[in-house]
Amino acid sequence: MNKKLISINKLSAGTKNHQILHDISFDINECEIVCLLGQSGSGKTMTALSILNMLPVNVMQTSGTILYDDKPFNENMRGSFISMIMQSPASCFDSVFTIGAQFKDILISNNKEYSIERVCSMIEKVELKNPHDILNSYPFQLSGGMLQRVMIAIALSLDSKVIIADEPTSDLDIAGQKEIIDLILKLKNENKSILMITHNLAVAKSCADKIAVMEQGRIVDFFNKTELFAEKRHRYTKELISANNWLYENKWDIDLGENNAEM
Amino acid sequence: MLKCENISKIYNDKSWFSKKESIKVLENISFHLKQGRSMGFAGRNGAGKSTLMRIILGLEKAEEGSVIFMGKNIHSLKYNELKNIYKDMQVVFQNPQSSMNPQFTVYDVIKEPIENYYNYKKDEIKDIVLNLLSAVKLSEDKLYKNIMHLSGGEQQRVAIARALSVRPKLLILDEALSSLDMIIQAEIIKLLEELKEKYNLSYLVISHDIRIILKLCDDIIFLENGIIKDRFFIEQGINNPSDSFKNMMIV
Repeated sequence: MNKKLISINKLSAGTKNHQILHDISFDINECEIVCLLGQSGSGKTMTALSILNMLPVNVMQTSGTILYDDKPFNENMRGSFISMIMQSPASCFDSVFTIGAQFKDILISNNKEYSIERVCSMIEKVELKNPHDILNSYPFQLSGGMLQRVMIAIALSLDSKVIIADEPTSDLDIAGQKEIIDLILKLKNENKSILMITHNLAVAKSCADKIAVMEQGRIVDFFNKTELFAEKRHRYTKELISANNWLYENKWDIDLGENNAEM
Repeated sequence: MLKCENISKIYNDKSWFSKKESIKVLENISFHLKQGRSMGFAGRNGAGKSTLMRIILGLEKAEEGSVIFMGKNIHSLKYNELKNIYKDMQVVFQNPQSSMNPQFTVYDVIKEPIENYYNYKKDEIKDIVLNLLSAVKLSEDKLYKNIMHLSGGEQQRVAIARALSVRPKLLILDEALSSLDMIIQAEIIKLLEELKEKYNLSYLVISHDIRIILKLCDDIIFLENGIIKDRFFIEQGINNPSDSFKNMMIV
């Protein structure tokens, strides 16, 4: 059996008068993609932030433990053990510095070796052409998909074991989404574990090994991808599936997508 | 109802230092939308979909070509006449939050266009607003809530209700569903299908998600790099699509 890299046990968090997360428990194993699936406001991002110990100021963890490779949290783990790809890449980069400068900054502050060749090879790994041009450009000169790739390249070069990807596909069009999913599947082959946050069942279905469905701050369902259509699924999961299937039906009588056929 | 002929749009790069560049974002776009049908513009990011929508709305001028809506050329109209056009043509934008005044309540948002276009008494306006709310399936107790206290799906419903309040014949949906999650997307598509029957609407749907377009539209135009690559009509189905259109179909 694969080693547990992160294990979350009965995590609850909230503000003074409003509880956001209720009894969240799940594990992330080595070389595994876990998907947190849920509507906006269901607490997916909060869960990710509590794993990073980066909750907003007014939100506190009220109970529960999170173990990282059987050890409690310490500051050095960010970057070396766990890293995060943020939701909207356009707002995560500083627009007055070039991509290259920011890349260097992140590597050096995390005590990683920095060399142009290494950075370029990382950028090539995420299937971007002309790495030198990209390093010399400013964030607003790149498209959303390119920034998302740069973000993945940075996470990759930090060499952390676990990568949290918060809605990596939501800003992109459908072809772009597919490319990013392929890239994430490639990361898995490089012995990374990934916690993927998404509201899109099709995205979850195409890349996850395990899916955790969240509704109003609770994990209502947790299962292997293969059991997605099992009878015992939670009411909410079934709702998601039927909404998803309904979107694929149309008056043109067109069968959409390979993914649909795989289901 | 809506006829576009040979629309071309060029953006000139007016920067001081680099040499002058002009980029052709739309080239020779012509189409004809008939009454009672709905049309969808599909395409990847940067294909020119939104520019085309802004030209149809008269928010931007095209270098060449004309937009004729209900027999009137939009680009030769004065402000007052344009206002009358918007009585028949309304738009719902991608991000409902940024298209509504954050200090307004739901009631304020929906009544504003009614007051602009019609002379109703106060209680008549309230009746109309309540009718619209029930048409978009929002409960009455949301009426005096601040718009920012609603969820994204609810805000989008308010935006649709506002657009419907002047009883338009054509409703333009510019990526209106892309920022919502799946269950709400499905709900709103069902709602739009109902509204189409009820108010005899035509839609002009702009989206990168082919599923939404196939759900709502009878005609599809596929744009790539500013030119019309494919054109489909529901009667003929999808015949010999280009490779890039096939890529869009793999969702």
